[in-house]
Amino acid sequence: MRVEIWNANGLVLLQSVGLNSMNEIEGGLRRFWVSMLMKRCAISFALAGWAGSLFGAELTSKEVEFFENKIRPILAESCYECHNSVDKKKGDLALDYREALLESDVIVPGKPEKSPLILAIRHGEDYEAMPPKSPRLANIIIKNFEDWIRMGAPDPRTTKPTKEDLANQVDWESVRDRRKEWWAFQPLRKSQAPPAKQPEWNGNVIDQFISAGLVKEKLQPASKATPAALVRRVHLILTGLPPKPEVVEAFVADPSETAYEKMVSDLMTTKQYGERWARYWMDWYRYAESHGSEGDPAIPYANQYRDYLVRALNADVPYDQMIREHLAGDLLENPRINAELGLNESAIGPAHFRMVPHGFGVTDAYDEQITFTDNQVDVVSKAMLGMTVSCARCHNHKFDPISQKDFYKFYGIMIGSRPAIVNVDSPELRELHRKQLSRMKPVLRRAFADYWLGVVDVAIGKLEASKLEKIRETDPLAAWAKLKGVEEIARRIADLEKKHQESLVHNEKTKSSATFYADLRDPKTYARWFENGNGLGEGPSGAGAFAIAGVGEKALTGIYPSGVYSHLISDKHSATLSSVFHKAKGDKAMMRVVGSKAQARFVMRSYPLSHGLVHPAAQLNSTLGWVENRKYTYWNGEKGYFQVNTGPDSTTRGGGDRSWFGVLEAYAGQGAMRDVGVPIVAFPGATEVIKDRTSLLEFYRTILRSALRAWKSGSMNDDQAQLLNAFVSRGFLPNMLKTLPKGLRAQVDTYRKLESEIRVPIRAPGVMEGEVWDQPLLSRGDYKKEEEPVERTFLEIFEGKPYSKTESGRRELAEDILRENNPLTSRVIVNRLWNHVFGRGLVASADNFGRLGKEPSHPELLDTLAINFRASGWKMKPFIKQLVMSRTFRSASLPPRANGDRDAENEMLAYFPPRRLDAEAILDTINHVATGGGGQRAMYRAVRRNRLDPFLKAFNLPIPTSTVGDRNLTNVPAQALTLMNGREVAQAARQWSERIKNDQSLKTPEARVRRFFLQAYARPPSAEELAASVAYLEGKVDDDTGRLREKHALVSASLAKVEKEREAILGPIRSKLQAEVDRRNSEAAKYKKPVDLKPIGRWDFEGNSDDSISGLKGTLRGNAKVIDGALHLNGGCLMSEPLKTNLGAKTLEVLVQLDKLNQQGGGAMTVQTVDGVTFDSIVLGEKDPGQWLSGSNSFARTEGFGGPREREANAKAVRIAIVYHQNGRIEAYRDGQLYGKSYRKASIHKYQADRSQVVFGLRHGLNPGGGRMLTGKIFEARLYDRALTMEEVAAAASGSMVEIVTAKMINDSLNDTQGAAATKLKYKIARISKELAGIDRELAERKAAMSGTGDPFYRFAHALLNSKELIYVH
Amino acid sequence: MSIDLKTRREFLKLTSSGVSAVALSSLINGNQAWGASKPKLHHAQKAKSVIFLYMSGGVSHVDSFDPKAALKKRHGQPMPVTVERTQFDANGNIFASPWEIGRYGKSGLEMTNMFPKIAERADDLAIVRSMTAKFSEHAQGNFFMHTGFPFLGYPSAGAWVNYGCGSMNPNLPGYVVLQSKRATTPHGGVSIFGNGFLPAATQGSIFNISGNQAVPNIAPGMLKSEQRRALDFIGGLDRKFAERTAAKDAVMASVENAETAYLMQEAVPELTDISEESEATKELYGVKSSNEHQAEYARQCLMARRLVERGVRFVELSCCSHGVGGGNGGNPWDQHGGLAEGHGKMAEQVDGPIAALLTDLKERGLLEETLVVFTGEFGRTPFSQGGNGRDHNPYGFSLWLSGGGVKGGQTHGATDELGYKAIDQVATVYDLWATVLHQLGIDHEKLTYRWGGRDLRLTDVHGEVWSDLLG
Repeated sequence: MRVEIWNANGLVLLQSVGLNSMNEIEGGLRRFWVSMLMKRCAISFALAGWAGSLFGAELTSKEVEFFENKIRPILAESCYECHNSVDKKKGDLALDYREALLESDVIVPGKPEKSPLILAIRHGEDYEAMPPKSPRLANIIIKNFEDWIRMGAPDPRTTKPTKEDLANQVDWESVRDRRKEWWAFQPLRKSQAPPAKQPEWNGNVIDQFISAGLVKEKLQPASKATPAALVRRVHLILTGLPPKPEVVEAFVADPSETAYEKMVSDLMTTKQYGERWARYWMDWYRYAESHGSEGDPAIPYANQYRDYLVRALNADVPYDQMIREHLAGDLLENPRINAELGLNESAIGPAHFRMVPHGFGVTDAYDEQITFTDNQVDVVSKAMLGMTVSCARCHNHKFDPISQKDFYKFYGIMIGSRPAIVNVDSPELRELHRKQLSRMKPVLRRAFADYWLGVVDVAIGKLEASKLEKIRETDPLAAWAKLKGVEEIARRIADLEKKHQESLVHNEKTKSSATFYADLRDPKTYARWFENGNGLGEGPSGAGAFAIAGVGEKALTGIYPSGVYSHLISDKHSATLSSVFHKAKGDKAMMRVVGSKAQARFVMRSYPLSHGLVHPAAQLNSTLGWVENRKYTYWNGEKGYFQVNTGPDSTTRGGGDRSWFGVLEAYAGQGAMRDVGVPIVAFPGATEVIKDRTSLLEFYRTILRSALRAWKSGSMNDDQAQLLNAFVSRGFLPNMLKTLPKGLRAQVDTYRKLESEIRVPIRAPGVMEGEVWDQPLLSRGDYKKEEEPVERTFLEIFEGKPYSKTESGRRELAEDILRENNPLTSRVIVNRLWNHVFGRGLVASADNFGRLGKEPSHPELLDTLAINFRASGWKMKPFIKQLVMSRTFRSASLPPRANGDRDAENEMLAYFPPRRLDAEAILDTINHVATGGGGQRAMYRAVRRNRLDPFLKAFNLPIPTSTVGDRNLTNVPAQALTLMNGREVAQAARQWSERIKNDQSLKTPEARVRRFFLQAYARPPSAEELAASVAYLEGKVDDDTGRLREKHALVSASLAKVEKEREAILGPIRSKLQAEVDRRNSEAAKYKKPVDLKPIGRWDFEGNSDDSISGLKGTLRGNAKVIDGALHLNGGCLMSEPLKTNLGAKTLEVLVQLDKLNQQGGGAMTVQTVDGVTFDSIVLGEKDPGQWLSGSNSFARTEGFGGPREREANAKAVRIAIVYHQNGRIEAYRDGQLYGKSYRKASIHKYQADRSQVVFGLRHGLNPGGGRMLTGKIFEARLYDRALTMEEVAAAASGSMVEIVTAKMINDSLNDTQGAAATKLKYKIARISKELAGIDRELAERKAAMSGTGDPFYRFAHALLNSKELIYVH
Repeated sequence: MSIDLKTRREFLKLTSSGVSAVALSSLINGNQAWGASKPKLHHAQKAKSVIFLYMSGGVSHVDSFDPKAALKKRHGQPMPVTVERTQFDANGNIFASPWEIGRYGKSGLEMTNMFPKIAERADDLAIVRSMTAKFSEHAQGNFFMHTGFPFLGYPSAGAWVNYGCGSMNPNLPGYVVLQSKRATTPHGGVSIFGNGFLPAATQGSIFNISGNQAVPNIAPGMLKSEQRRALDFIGGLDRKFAERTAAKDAVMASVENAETAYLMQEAVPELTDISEESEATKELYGVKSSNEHQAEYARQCLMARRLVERGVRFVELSCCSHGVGGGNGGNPWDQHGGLAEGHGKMAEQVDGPIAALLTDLKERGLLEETLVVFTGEFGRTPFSQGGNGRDHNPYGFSLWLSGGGVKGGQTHGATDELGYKAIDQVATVYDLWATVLHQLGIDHEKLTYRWGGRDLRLTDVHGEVWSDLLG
């Protein structure tokens, strides 16, 4: 390929562009080049004419100024990166100094319209859009370039720049300041609303601005919507539900201004208003109840946030307050209290921080932290500011004035708080009875001490008599257990003493080289930890702290050494306590703890989930001791913190009511801490006094007495506390409530009564303040490249002050977001609310006000609304009211003809924009008309990330990942299928049609149709619709059952024919085999006496599926077939006609062979009610693999027999009999032998004649399917209307001794030709059987259709629920 | 579209394939035809379709496509290098492979005898032995492998391929995920196949080929004849409504969708019916194998060919679980224990059917334009977990490509002596998708979609095409 490019002087600049070098040119630029080549001549001429001015003339200062201010910054910011003369020259194009620019031929001085550069930045056709992958440059910038070229492209850049020169020209500050010129960052500007000509468009600023816009665009406004349309519209917009017919009728009768205003006001005071608008907030804050990923772990108490939103919006909590609550509701000095529910509402606000997706069992904790923190930053910045701050994680924002540092400021603010479960009870409830109970405790302590001092001898007596097995050596009472019968007590005591001292020394030594050690008994240390909940006090408790049990037989839960305890008032109190971060080093992380149903963890990088693998949580127990975090070595090098929490405060699980913990120390490092405990030698004088068992016992008496005295006087030490606890916990000192003296018991009862009034706190997901965190900037977002920490403050364009060094910064962030110099917040929220009323924001990109977003359609209106919104106290209800009261809102939903095709997008709002309802409103509307109001709304359905509601998802429920201010409204056939065939609509149609059908006031079809219409569409039907509807309602179902029956007969016949053909081959062979078998059987029968057990049903499957005794016809379902004297189940089943007699006591007996042994839950033989609900069945492996079982509805009469696992039934047929005795006893037999153990669980179920049936192959139900099918063959079955005796069962089972001709025997006897023919016919039979089954199914469907869904009212309701008008707001 | 509805129905009824095709496409694409304008490719296309053999749970590369003699030699010895954090932290010593190493095909590709039938196709395989992932947990790994991001909300590769290449056959969904009774969705849920922020049209549609409802709500809730009458009645109401509102087009489009949905009720069962295939073909794949797991997977493989033949851009297959050693429905290859038994059964399940698929595609001349990709979300450790399993290993593992312009019988990259970490030509999922897109005629850096203020890519800001593997 040869290409020539000519410059002005006609010289060839580039020759022989080979294929290779062409390929090196970027694809896009190639087109750029080509287009340049196309215009080569023009360029040459033009350049020739202007050459002088470019190269020779002196530039004026004005020209230089123009270039420096308007041109150079743009070139530097948008072009140099790819087109420079230093290190990157894409498309062989450099724009960084005059000579290079001219050589590149991209400008034609004087002729902007001929300059490829201009065409490229204009995104002209055939030109690669420049700059690439960016929004088009602003019009003003393009105009500047055009002007500049028109001037002759004056360019003062005479020398080739160095690398440093280039870097200086694109410094962040200048780039940022230029980007700050984008409209969204400009201060709010108040404009005077232009008065409108028509009076109805005057008065509301909205209408005045909209009207002005229409006038400017020469558009006509639509006339007013009809009252009926308006009443439906305003209901759907404000509450997401259609109006009730009586409301419609009333408004249509009186559509006055007053009536409308009243309706609006009334709607805004309904609960449904809050439910509707809360769902939008849930979209903004990506509400979810689980974290997603493997296992989709739940976010405990997540729905508190949803309910909080509903309440807050109904109460019209101002938006600024909502922002404060969302960011720092837990820190507010004056939280919003809900006295009625006893809630601190504000504290629920931060729950959204916890709605992040989390990985499961992450092995890279830092990466996980970055991922979820990024998500928090993303959501907060988008939802509140309309900014994509998280785009600046790896580098400065590509388009907006947001620096990478800005991202890490937010990051630090987020990480300064920790994931937690928050107690959101009102302060009053949190403190309920605390003072009284606290006052009671010393009194109780003294009373108990007095009581126990009086029974010390009893306690010692009990100790003397006790065995104390399995006692720890470090227990104070261990000496009594261990030194029993040992003669050399003194030596053993010395040993104990030595060991004790060694342990103490060991622990001191280990501590001294610890990676981390905290003694929480020291108030100063405790003050450095972070606590949450109402269970923990101001500081650690001294020795002798004790807890009164709120429930149970015991009076005291325990008496403790000094430490931090969560349950000293009540174990319903909540508590979380966590340490500062440290970098893991060493092999042990341990906490010295005690507790019940509480957990201790080492939390990696604030990862809130725990599981058994690499994020374990230790469960605490009632013995104080060191508890280890098992995975500390694994996490060496990574940062984490210790945390202990009560069970319901677990971020992983939550739930439960009473739980508590005590914590004394935390340690991490090389080597383990030892449980020193309180061996007897810890008590002064032990070694001197204890000589033998008598002196030992005396010693106990002495130290117990002094411990009690010390406790009473409040001067106890830790060892004494544990000694006392040892006596109390073992009951040596009486602690049972009922044994206490009357007075003491009364005191405990009083305590308990007050304690019982404390409620289990209401909890919500949230965050708690943690270590203040200035996050190091991560170079290119890579955490392995940490740079300097970034001081927390607000976005740099708003020039805020640095944040506190003692708090996370969430409170300050809230204030900055609300600060007057920040125009984003108020614009973003008024635009969001506008968007939900009008279906499109004044700024169409509701979540992005940055450069990639849209510019406002009505900037003055937007600013005026934002200013007013702020000035009138950030109140949302009055604002939304102003929107729906506007004339703009009340326009009809059709464009006036006069407007033609202009403004097809309806940006100027000449008419109300009709649109499909969102997912929740569709479902709510359907259920609303079905129930006549009532039922649970869609917004309350669980939002589990991995199992989003299928109905809602079909209609664009957003995947909860990030902020969604504007939902998609796609239109796909899956939606039609959901409405046509889905369960929800069918159920609604049934309910709705029943309601109308049963309404006695509706006498005629016309009246009913009118009611249907009014309820569905809030309007009566037109005459035409009425006629069509009545015709439809009265129309006959197109019943082609007859035709199908004929077809059935035909196919049956052909099946019979083929079966006969096959039988022609197999028959003779079978007869031959049968003769042999009969001979062998009769030989065997000589030794047996035939017994007639009088079954009421017998199935032998000899050519049919009927019961040969009472003649019950059988119906084969699915693939079940009767072949060669056996029922082949193949995933199908056999169902009998209803039984002719009642059935109480009974016996089921079946001879069955299995296809495979590892089946689960299939039924061989069943008696069931004809609705398939109540049943007794011979089932394999439903509870324990391979075991036979008597199955029943919800296991009502089922327990395992505990018989052996079936191991033979695949190789041979086995006879299973289950006997149901009148008294409910059930026993099983296998081949005549008792199988496992009989049992009685419930009374027998009595099956009614005509309403019960026998089923084979299906555990129970109406159709084959699910995990209820048995696969295999059934050779014979019998049903008895009594409980057979063991002998009778054995006699019946002797039948299993009878040899039968099996399919295998026949197969083995076929020659090759016969075999091939038989196989071919077998497949043919299978195919025809399948067809037959299909016809059967269709016939059954028709039957069902005629009885249920064939109801004309149902059909009509179903049709309306499928109509589009129902799911549109217009 | 203003075709009279009744006429359109009749037209569609004329050809049964027409019915299924149009209907299925519309299920996914809707009437607001995304993909109506054919996207421009960036360069010549080598492959037209992708078959994604996803081995959920993580196939052990050191036991299959990256065999290591050193494992046998050093069996029972501690790992000589520092071991990274593993998911189960029950690391044992170096663990010899239960399979034998051999050389296969003319190219003499080295692999074990775990997949003897695939090995016979060695000269068609290009093995990448230096794959890496960033996550050692299933759900994140699955999302990462499919979307390039570790959690839900981003488009799956199949969606990107459809977005970038457009529809080859406007009558079929572009991205189909095959599942069957024992083969279900990997950990992380169906969003793994999601369209994220791309048009809904591009999302994966799951066909459960064992069930009677391959698509949710496909079974009619009332008599077909009655349903027809209902639709006609509803259509009448809807048309009048459309005339009264400015949303006329949207309303009419949704009327069309109801008609399409109606037709689909028959079309879907037809499409998933393989009875028209010859006995020889069924035999080749093993759809009647007495090994039911294998038979199920064989049906998926055969279905994959049928779909590719009909112009589906991206077909993803799902493995059946045997429930061995940690492997369950979502992660059948996950043998933390019982490696020999579990991987043995899994390999037996897929080996024959996949080899048959390659053979069949080749014989039909489809392999040249179909890129087959075989991979899990990560590999497994060369050291043991517990007694006889292996833990997750995202630091080095293998995948292979076949067909679609890829030259077989060669390898790319390598792991260390023990197969623990990729050390040569380290490869990423971004590279995989860059290569796949490249073969489909797309420059992965240019395939972008603006969302949340960013121009997002399947390959994020990474990705190098494995040009050495291309023919």
